[in-house]
Amino acid sequence: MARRFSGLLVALGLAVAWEAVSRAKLVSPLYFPPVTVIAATFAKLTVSGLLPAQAGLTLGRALAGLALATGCAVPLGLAMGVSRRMRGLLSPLVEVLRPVPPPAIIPAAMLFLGIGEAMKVFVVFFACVFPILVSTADGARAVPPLFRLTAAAYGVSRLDTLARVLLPAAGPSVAAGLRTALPMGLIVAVLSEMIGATSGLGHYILRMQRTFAIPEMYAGVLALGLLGLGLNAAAQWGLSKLSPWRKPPGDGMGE
Amino acid sequence: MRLAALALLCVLCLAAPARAADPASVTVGYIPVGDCLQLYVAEAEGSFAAEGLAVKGLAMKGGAVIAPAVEGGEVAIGWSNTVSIILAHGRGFDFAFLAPGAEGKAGTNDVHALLVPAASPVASVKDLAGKTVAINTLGNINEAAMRALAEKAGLAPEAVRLVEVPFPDMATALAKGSVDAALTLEPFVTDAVSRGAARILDPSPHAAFGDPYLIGAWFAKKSWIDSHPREAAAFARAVAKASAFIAAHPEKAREILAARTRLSPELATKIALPRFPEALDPAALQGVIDVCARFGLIAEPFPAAGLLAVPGH
Repeated sequence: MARRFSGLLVALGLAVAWEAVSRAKLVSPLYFPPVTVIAATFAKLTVSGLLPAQAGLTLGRALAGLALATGCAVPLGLAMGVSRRMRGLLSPLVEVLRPVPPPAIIPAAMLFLGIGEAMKVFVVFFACVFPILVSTADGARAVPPLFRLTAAAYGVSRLDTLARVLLPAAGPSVAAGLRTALPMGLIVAVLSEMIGATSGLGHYILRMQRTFAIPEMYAGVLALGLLGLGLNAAAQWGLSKLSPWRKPPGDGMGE
Repeated sequence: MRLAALALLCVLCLAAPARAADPASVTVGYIPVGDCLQLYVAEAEGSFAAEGLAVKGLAMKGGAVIAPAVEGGEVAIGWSNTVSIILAHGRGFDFAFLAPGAEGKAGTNDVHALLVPAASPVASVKDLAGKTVAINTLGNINEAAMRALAEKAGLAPEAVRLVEVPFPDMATALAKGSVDAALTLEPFVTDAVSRGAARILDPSPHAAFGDPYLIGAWFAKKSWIDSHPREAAAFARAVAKASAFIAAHPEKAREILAARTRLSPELATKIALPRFPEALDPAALQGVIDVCARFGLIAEPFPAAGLLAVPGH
């Protein structure tokens, strides 16, 4: 508790310093408006419903892409974990595509999917699928063979073994993959909204910058930060409910 | 020895005024398109050097990058479409137009056009309700023009969805069906239409701004103009000279344009060129300001004179 309090003090100190530097015109107050001005703009835009609506659209795109990625990556990852053949089939493809930075896929995605929703969701999917896939495969591979052999000895069907033995045992690894994918999905959703979009926080921030509405631009950035924070907290809570036998690997921030 | 020193001193004294006349270096941010033709002509014809300026041109993506560079002092003078600077002025930025850039005149010098795919069912602007239109940058002259066009067609100004697509990518976006229309400019208009890929839905999308209207201009921070009156005035004179040259030698100007924008010489002879006025006309700017105010891009209209700096007067 004391540690969290001192962390807040650092944030508060930075805000006060920003305010003072801006008010004293040490930096251009047009580009670095005082924190109080940004906060007031943020409050106004939140109450008017503008920021929550844009944040909702961004969140929707991020979650849609993440859900698609999870749906594909978890079964494939489990299969890669238990079957050497599947590993051999998929590993080269994964190893080639995984290091591609997701933003680099946006121009290509625009060519075959246009600039609509499908492109944005696909880019999020692309960013999220590999962390989940790799970490699920690793987790499934690390499950002691004894678990499977025991299940087989009791005559448990292969599908049941997958769902009731393998998945729970690999659960923490799947959760770790999801935790990695989640912030990435949000980042990429915002990026995709900065190209050829008409809505979402990424679009809003870019538009405000283009029209010199600088406090509004920072308010958008602040909304994005808070959205990320909330998403992270929700993920931590949700995943701890899903695999209560082990704490999901923390990132050292929320302890 | 003493005599030699004295002689040297005399030479130095004589040399001093020559030193003061050394070309003053000025960095200028521009967009590598036809609208910035004055800069290429002034460089090619040596107008900057004749005015005692060493201009270093910096090609940039658009007004959204140039304005922050001018504000931060990275470049002294920049080119921008007028709406971006009007918006910045409304937000308290200390910019002023120094020299006129391209001017449009509906019917004769239309460098912009609203395009739709050749096989599009869209017959008029009215059919664009709820459809998506590509513009190069949000919150600029083309957004204001689209809003005005929608209103003229009897639609709500917000009825058309605007997306940001760079000019060179618009033809592809149209062909892919990602956008239903695109507000683009030369040489892309002539290129797409002559290839049969698109047809012109509206040949004068900027008509709402008045006739003529200022598309873009060269701007600087007022504080820079005040502290560099000599350079500011010299730049304005060189640009005016370039405008006169373009009017007098359009073919030569097109050659310079082709060389500078990697345009094929054939296309360079076909495209429409904007007019380049020699003096800043407040009336040509006022129409743009009024349209911005009408569509809520700025809170209220202001007199165009507040945005003009006439150096050396």
